[in-house]
Formats: sequence, structure tokens, C-alpha cells
Amino acid sequence: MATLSDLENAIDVLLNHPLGINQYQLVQPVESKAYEAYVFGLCLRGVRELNVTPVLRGISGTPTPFVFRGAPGQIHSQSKNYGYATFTIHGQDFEIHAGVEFKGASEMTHELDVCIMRGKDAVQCRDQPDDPSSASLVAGWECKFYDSNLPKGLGRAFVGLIDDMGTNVRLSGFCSNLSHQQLKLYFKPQRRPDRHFDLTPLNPRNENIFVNQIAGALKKMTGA
Amino acid sequence: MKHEYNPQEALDLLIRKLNDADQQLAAHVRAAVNAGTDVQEIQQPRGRDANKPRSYRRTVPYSPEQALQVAVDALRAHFVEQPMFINSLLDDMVPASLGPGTTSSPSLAGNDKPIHIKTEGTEKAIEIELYTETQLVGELGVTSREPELQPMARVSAEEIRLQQSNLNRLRDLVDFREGL
Repeated sequence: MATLSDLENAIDVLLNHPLGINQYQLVQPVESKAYEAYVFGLCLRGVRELNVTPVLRGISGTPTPFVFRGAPGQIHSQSKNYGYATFTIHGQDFEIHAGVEFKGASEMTHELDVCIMRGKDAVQCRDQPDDPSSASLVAGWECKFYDSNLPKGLGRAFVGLIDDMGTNVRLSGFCSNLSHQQLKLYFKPQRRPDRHFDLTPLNPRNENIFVNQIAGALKKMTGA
Repeated sequence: MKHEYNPQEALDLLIRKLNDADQQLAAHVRAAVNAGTDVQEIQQPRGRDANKPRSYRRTVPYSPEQALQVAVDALRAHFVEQPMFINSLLDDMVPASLGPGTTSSPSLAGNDKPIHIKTEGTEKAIEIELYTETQLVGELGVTSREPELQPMARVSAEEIRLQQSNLNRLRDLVDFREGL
């Protein structure tokens, strides 16, 4: 029979483990950014599926360390040596960014948690500081780490954002470590972004679907 | 498994221990537990439509048994998934190479100053910004010397496996389904 003392002991062991409370207190301020960084990594994996090696770069030098933004920012900002990745497929240059702001078709700016954009436009926006236009966006993802109760409004907001990003976007998706029954229905129509729920290392099948989708879209658009 | 405690007592103990350990985490778990869940209710109409039952959605509180599983899932997100995100990112960065900062087209990368060490296949250092570029006042006040970046280090797979096993142990202890 399980006793209260067994239960208390099990809770203590969980909380006092090196990945328990101490680790939580250390990384809690950046948990949502860590999830975006994870999705950024999956994009690198998608590129590698095409036998292309992405190159990690920094806005002002070699990214050692590779710095992820803590809040949405401008692609040309040199406040820190923010990291991004570049790759070339069939002579076409692309970049992967996290937390960069774009100019929507309405001229309103939008933050994309993780995105793939045309390299030429990214270079131009760094050379002559500006927000990239919606036409430069190839793929964009909203990334939400939650421990429970994914708010429905996040889905609605992302649909509105993508609607303002024009017609060049090849791929868009809402990623979360959780699932949500009603949002699944909301993203069901063909023209809405894809849903990538339960996208977590605990679910490698969903990771593979995400990665293969990126590889497939890049292959198609570059004729690789 | 038989228990000498009931689900409500188990939930109270878990929330109390979380509150003692970290009030912010306890608040997250309380919010998860208090959000309730949607159920489909079936209504049997009277009169002419009596043989056409209709269903509708209703939000109800979790039972203490369900709430315990929701709480354990929330803890799994913080204690197991988070370190796995960083390990996954580090794994995905290993095959990538490091390039110099660039203002030119990557396909013209020959013009860039080359990196003379082989960086493909090596672990990369990652940091996440804590103190953002527009932030004037930090948690401790504008004059404090707060760290601007949080290094994110790899966690051993064995530690993650152990923590997952600790979580499974807790999940078993708060599982009140018959026959377990």
C-alpha cells in the first residue's frame, strides 16, 4: 500500500533532483525562448535532410556563443552578436532566424518566432537597416511552450499574422509542446497554418513530420 | 496500487510541497489544475424531439484524480522537456559549421574571412538573452549588474532518464484507477 510518506518522498526526490527546482529557477526566465531555439534546431535538421550543411553566423562576428534573442528584435540589430543560420540550395540563399520582426503587407510589423527567409533580402536589410518585407518570408512558425492550457487566442493571432504576410510564404505553422482539441479544429481549413502540436523530443514522430515538411518545401521551391 | 490517502489529500500535499519549493512554479501548476476541462453533455429533449438527443460543450472542474495527472504533466514540461529542448538544439547544431559574421551573400562566402578550425561535428555554445536590448529596468533595478545572457548547457541523458523515472514514480503514486 502506498503511504503518504511514500508520496512525500517521491515529490521530494523529483524536486531535489538536479533537473528539479534548481534547474527550473535557473532557466524559467528563458523557457519559452528555449522552445523557440529547439524549433530553430529542427529547421537546421530539415536543411540537413537535403544534404546541405547550414552555417551558423552572428550579426557582428562568429557566433561563439550563439546568442538567441530574449525578445523580438530587428534583423540588423547589433546590440548583441545575435545568431542566425545561412544555407544555399541550388544557388538560392536562405537564412533561418529566431525572434525577428518583419514588415507585413499592411506595413504593421510582426514578430516571427522562427522563420526561413530569402538570404538576399536579409543581407540587404542588414546593409541598409530595415525590417524585412513580407515578400522575403519563405516559412514562419509560432512556437509556444506551455505547461498546460494553451490559450486559444494564440491561434487566432497567428492566423491574423500570417494573413498579413502576403502570398510568398511557402510554409507556416503553429508549434507547441502541448495539444489543444479546439485549436486542432481551428487550423483544419486548407489555407490556415499547419498545426504542429505535441512537437517535443518526447514525440520523435511529430519531430520527423515537421522536419520532413521543411525539407519537402525547400526541395520543391528550389528544384533540388 | 492501494493508497492510504485519497486523491484530494495527494493533490493538497503536492501543491503544498510545490509552494514550499517555488511559489511561481506552484502558481503555474495551480492555474493548470484550476482551468478545468471541456466535456460533452447530452440533453434529452422533451416532447416531439424526445428521440433526438442533443449534445453541447460544458467546462467543468477537474476531478482530484484528473487534476493530479494535469499537475504531473505540467511538472514534466519543466523538469523533463525543457532540458530535452536544449539537448536537441545542441545535437542539431553539432553538424553545422560556424561562419564569420557576414554582410555578403552566403553563396559568395569565399569572400568572407575563413574560420581556420573545423567546426562541423563540434558542440556549439548557446546563450539566451535575459536582459533584452530595450530593457531599461531589470528585476533588481536599473543600477544592478544583472547577467545579460543565460548559458544553456547540455544535460546528461542519464540525468534526464532519472528525472523521467522520478516523474513516473510520482505518476504511479497518484494514479487511483481501479486495478492498478
